[in-house]
Amino acid sequence: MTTATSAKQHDSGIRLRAGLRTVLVYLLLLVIAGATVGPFLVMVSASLRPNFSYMTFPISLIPPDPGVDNYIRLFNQTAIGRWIFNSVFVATSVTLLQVTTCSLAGYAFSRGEFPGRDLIFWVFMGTLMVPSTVTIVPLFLILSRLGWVDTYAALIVPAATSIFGTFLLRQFFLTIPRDYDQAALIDGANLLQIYRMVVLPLAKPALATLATLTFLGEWNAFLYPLIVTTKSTMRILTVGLATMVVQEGGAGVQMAGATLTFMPTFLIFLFMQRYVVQGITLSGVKG
Amino acid sequence: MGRLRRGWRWYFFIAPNVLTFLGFTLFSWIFLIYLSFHDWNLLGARQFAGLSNYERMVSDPILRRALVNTLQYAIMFVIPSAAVSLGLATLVNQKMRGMYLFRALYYLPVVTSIAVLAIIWKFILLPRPDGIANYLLQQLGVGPREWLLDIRLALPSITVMQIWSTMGYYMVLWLAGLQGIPEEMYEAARIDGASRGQMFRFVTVPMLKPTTIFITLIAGIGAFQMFGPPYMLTGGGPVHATTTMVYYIWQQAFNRYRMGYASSISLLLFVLILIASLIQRKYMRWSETIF
Amino acid sequence: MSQDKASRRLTRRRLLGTGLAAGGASVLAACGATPTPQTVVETVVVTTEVEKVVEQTVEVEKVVEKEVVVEVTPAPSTLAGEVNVWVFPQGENDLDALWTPLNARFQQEYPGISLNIELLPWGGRREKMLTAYAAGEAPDAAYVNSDTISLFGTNDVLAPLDDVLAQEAWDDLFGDLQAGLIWEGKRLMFPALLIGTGHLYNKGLMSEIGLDPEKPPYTWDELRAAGAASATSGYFLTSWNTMDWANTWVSIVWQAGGTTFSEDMTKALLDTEPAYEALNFAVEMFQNGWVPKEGAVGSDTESSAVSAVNYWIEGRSTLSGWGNPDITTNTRTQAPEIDFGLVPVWMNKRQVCNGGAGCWGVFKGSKAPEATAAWLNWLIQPEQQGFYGSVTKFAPPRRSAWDYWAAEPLPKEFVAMRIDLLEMNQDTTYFWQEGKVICAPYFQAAVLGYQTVEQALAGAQAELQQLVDEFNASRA
Repeated sequence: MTTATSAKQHDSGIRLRAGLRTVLVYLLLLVIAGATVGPFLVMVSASLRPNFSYMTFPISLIPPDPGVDNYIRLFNQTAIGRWIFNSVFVATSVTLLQVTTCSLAGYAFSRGEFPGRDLIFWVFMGTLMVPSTVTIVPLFLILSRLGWVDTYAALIVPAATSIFGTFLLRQFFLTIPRDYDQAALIDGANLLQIYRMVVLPLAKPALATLATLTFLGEWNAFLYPLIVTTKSTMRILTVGLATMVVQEGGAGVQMAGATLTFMPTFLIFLFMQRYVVQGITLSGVKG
Repeated sequence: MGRLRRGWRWYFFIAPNVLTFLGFTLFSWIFLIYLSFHDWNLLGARQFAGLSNYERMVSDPILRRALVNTLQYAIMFVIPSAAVSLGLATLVNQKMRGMYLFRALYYLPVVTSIAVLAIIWKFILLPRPDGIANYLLQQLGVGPREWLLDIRLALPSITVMQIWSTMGYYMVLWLAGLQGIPEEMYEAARIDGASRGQMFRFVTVPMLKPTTIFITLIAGIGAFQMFGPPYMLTGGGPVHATTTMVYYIWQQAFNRYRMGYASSISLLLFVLILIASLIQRKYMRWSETIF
Repeated sequence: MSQDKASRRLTRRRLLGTGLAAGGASVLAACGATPTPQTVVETVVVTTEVEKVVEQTVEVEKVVEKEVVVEVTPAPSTLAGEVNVWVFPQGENDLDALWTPLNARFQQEYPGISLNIELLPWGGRREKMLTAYAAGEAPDAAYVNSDTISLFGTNDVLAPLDDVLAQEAWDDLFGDLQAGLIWEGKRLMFPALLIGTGHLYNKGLMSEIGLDPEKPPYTWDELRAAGAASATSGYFLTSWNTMDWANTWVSIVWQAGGTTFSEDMTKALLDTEPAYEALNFAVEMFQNGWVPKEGAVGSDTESSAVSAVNYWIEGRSTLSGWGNPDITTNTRTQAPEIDFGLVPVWMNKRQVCNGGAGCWGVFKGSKAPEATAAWLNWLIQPEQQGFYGSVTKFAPPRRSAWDYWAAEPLPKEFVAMRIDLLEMNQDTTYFWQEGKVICAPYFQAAVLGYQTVEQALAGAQAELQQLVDEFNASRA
């Protein structure tokens, strides 16, 4: 009797503390969210102001005379459909290619033992360490020699692999217990089968993450696509929108463009995070 | 089994990387080294310059300043940035309602246009009492600062701005790592009566080692190549206080038209990053986790 | 006569540019013979009288075409070729608003020329142009700011336009503009538009701070007085950016009676009295709070359209910052409550304003020099220049183009007020980018009080002089 009561009290004490903790966590989450959402709201708000050219203080999120004028001007650009297509096509192609090539290479670097493995890995890592500010010039010389200026090949092929992605996936594959491979090996699977049937399914969160970040990077790229394409028809959205930005003023359209550019990467993020959650919900079911 | 793990077959898996490396990167590197021994303004002929670009580096006070700035920035940025983003990731990795939404909200700065971020930070860091940062400080009883105008505060201001705008990015990377930890390990710890803190310390941290290595290395390389804020916000000022190595390289290449000199600084930066990475590799004991 | 000269020149250029066979004959002349246009802006009635003598030439890699001598009378030209031109945005939708109508008209006159106008963003402009040139992917012609003339000139990449464009066109230019477009005796660029920035003033604020609202301050002493009065009442006088080479340095040092470089380009002149006076003026502005302090640090990007706070539009600044003619119409739409007037060009020892212009340049590597020349010749005709100015809201640099310039009275008045005070000289021709990045840190040190004006100028002078010496050594 007494023990039951005290147990009950103890229980409610735990529940109370858990409840308090939940409230505190949500409070913290909200405070941080305030700091990250603010700028985004300013961008959207500015995009709805036809004459936006400066910030006012205090920042008013509700524009004085809101309207979609900036967006209409944006879509009055005859070429914008083509730019959107190019961006979608290039970013999607690069993402698919990178997820494939990086997972293959990441698998090799995490599981394989072959001559020169560490050396090759570190030579590849060098790619990240040399600033692209300068290497863009020789890269463009090559593309020009290949006749690739103003082609999708120039936008896609050099980005088909990435050491960033390879490294990311390699590190993730390292956390997958090797027992899984060994079991498959005993069943007579070869390397490619293990990669496809064991490693890839377990690595969904990492693959989704790589896809999110690759898409983001390609979608927002500016200097590289600017340099390798000249024709309006080959331009991607960021570069195309930049041709609407005059040297002074007219920032409303710039904000509308930024909002438009932002959307797809955010949708990709939401879509891909499902896979990042998947791992934990699957194992969570058991408990 | 060892039979499969060893062998030439693995080269097929890395073949695409090798091909793009040989096709594009290698030439760029050779060309860079070649350029560092030449004077070239991109339009005219390349003239052999011997070691003059390297000699210039030794006696260039602005380069020295850029070097110091870059190192300072890397020190101020990498660990806080990794820690903050890990905190965010563990926060939104809990099994509570609405975590999806919060992940998305924290990711917003990563996808908000840099032009927009630059304007907003100009506003936050206004050098007068009506700036947002100064207003908030005033509530805490601290007097106004001149942020980007103050030689000592400009770089730290930019560091805070960068930590804030990249934390969503690293959060996503941490999340992927956190998802890789098998749930069973937490259950085992729970059965042993481990508290939340203990579980973090004894399960999460060791299991995250490969991710930690990845994030600190990538954040470090990113820090050594910081370029956006000086380009968008400060132009490297005031008085070179925010001139980073890559900003200086860019300026030498495209404002001063000295491609050869820019190339030799790039090589110096490469060597610096390589050394820092190898130190990190040694210090974090890669070999124990990996090979 | 002059046609023969033109022909010789172009031939040589083409030989250099495209590697013609030694047997290649001469090229065109007569593009330079100015048509007497009777075209009207909207209803296109072209009655151009051109005499064109076109001799096709033999190229190594290209198909050998018949040698023809064509006499073109009013009919459309038979000139053929592909012309690629790079332009940069002056408005939000230049392609549709400006270039599509212009190209359509051009195509009527020159159906054989295939014209590709590529609109490129300001951001990354130099990266794009220089990388393309390095790889041999440069266009035939491009919009080039006068800030790059020394780079292009030193490397001999632009074709001289002296004989490509008729003397009449050059003589038609306003004021002193030609001087800044000459490199080593050759004219490398032709202006597309006039840049002559200036200020507006807020009449309401003027009365509020106790000054006559009908007498805008424009001499430095008046500006100082107005600055002090504004600051006392909690307003700013204007705004100032240490990275703005053209306005906050070049114009100011000219007004102080000096220049940045000596006329023969052997000396940097930051160790002179006018330079001291100019930088001191900037320091006064900042340290007395006459301008917002944040302008002391700024970025170099060419696409950052938004400032954090626009004090002028908010009605917190007596004078606007430096603006283009459209600052008048923009102010009216964005802040209709402000009653504003035009401020005369600032004056100290001299009343003068930097006239650095946006220009057209033709690249030597062009594979279709005659067609490119024909296009440029067509584009700079008064009616085209007028139309260009009407759409972009910039003033046409040719006097006769003003008849075709459909601008509102206010921007017109804004330009008219300074048109005779615009100047170009060695400061606008040489080392625009270099000068800016060398001097900005020193200017920042001075206005923020980290260095005295003397120290800052001494540091900048040493670096600029070194730049000049290196340049002269390479020229010799």
